[in-house]
Amino acid sequence: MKAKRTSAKRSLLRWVAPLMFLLLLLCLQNLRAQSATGRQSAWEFGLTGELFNRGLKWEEQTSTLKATNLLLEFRGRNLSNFFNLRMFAGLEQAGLNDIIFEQLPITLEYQGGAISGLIFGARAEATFYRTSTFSLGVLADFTSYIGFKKSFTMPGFVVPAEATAEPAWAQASVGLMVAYDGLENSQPYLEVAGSLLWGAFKMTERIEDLSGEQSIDLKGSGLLSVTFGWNFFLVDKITVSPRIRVFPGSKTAVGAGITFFYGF
Amino acid sequence: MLNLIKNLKKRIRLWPLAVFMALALIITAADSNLAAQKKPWNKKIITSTEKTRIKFGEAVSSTGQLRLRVMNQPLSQPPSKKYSSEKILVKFKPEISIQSSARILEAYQPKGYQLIPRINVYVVQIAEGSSVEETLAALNRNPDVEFAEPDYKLRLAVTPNDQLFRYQYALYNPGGTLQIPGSPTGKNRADIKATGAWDYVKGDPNVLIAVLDSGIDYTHPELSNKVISTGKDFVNNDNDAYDDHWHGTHVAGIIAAATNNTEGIAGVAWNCRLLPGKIISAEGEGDYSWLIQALVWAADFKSGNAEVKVINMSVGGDEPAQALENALRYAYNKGIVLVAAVGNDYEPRVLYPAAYDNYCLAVGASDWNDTVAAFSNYGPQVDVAAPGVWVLSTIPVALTEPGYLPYAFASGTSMAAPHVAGFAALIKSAKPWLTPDQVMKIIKYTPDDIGTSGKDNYAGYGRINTEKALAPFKITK
Repeated sequence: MKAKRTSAKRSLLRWVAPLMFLLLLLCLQNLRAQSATGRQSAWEFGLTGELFNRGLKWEEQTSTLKATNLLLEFRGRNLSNFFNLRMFAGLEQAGLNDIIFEQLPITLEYQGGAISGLIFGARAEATFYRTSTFSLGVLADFTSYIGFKKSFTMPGFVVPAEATAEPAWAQASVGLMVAYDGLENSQPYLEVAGSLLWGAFKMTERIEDLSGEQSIDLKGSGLLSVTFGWNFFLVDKITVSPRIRVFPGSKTAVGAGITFFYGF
Repeated sequence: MLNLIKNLKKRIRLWPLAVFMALALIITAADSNLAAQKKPWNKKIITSTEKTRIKFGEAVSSTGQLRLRVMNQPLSQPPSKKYSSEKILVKFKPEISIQSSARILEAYQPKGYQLIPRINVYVVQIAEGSSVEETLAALNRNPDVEFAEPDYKLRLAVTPNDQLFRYQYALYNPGGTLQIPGSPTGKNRADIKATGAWDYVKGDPNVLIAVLDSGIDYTHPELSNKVISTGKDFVNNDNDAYDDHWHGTHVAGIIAAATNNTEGIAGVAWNCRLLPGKIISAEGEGDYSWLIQALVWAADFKSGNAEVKVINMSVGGDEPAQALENALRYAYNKGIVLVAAVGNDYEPRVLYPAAYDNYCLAVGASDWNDTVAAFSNYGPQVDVAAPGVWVLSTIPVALTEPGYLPYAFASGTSMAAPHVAGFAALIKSAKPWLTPDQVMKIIKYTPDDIGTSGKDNYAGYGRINTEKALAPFKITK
């Protein structure tokens, strides 16, 4: 399982790098053809609230990752007239119920709800083709969640008993985006991306002097995601960006978020 | 049920029962005197058991014909999932008409659906290729849906269909008047919770429990398919550990009698198998050297994929012995869980090998009210308790009087220990990677606390609870 996941990550990275380089060349060529009235670059701080569900597979079973995020973002927009770069970090409440740890001395079934943790990542977007009304680009992003250790008392034993949960996951996406630039103060956009999620949920059990530990590998179900968003340029320095994201192959994998950007 | 009991009473002849009880009491008194004599230079072991026993046939029928009505209880296989993978239950808000509900359901392309009237809940067969989780998530997001939930599985806590299971309060205690000698009133669920444990594990036939005792009657109908070989007789130095006493057969039946076969009793580790090692003579005595040899032999025993994982020793001696400890250590280091009875003298000393705390689980006896039996030895080495008063199990067919069934009630820590041995075998079946130390700790840390709160010298950590150890424990907020 680990070998397959590592191989998949390597495949993803192997063709992303040369593709990004090729598109960079195309973008530079395209920029020369653009009129002098290009969009201005801006640096922005953002605040994001986000909810999302993603199907998970583990040991031939399925469950659902339910997450709530609060993120601080730092974005460079329209850098060199074609490039956006976002970096973000914040807190996530990740819910991973219904996972069963059978390798522990006493089998545990996790129904403990959401676990807080740190989430951070980065996203890059590059426009390689632009007309007066549409722009076409590519995107790549990486997100990582590291859950805080959360302990649960296990009642009903004749000695003290406790379980500690530590989830973690990461997600990488690459894809294409198209934006409509024909509106004066807003910009709807559509993204289609391949998205890989992998992670591990570690559970430690301690019953007096009897202890055990098990880590279960997690894998996201569904690879293709579609995101529809809309950037609203309210005033010069404030942008609001709501968006929804679905995985067409799955009815449970859906997310929605909104970001408020303030430029300087 | 009342008529049944009345019919039973008509058939019981009271005077043979009274004579037998008197004889039993006399024998018991004589046994107690013998046990009190110390033999420091002649290390003998005795069966750690049975103050009295009453033949099952006398308790229920004077003719030996079992006139009880057979109640075949359905076997409930533990479901592989908690709920159906094809159906869900959906209720729409009251203001949504039936036509609208149907239109909404059709949008999810179900294979079919039907309305349960009066409560207006739909049983929906989900769409081909969909999962229950996905469909529920989508429906619960729909503002017209009041609730959508899985179609959970019903199950009985697995109850075997063995004819005499109802007499085994140790495995399932329904409370009230118990169908055992004396018809005492039992405390509801003062038992080892076997029916709940069997939902999750019934044992692995390749897990062998060695019974080092007076032998096993491997011709008994409840044991003939459960005994892997004729074993080894260390008393007579041959390869036939046939039981010429009865004690070992009784112990073996508790551990792993054929279960769910519509006859006889249920064994704790109902799929596991037995290996007899005869170390007790027909007179009920044995030498330490026989036990030591048997421990090493059992630890090394292998037949195909079957290996000894548990050794039950319902025997005990008064003296420690280095050679005995060495043999216990050898078996323990080979990954075998060792279970032994503490003794029946109600004295503040645990017999050997049970007293070897590092290697053995020392088991005391409790009764149908979770009270520690009056005869059970006590001391800091006591780890757990298990039912050991009026326990029904198998006895040798050859020693059964004509007209009687080859089963008997018996009492003693000898009867308690095999419940723990069967429990250990279930744990090893479910989680073969666990070491003996881990299995012992699971058994010690999951019982129901009885008697004095916390660990005490009489019941140890408490009366074993097999379900708590074997069922998944839910971590909740």
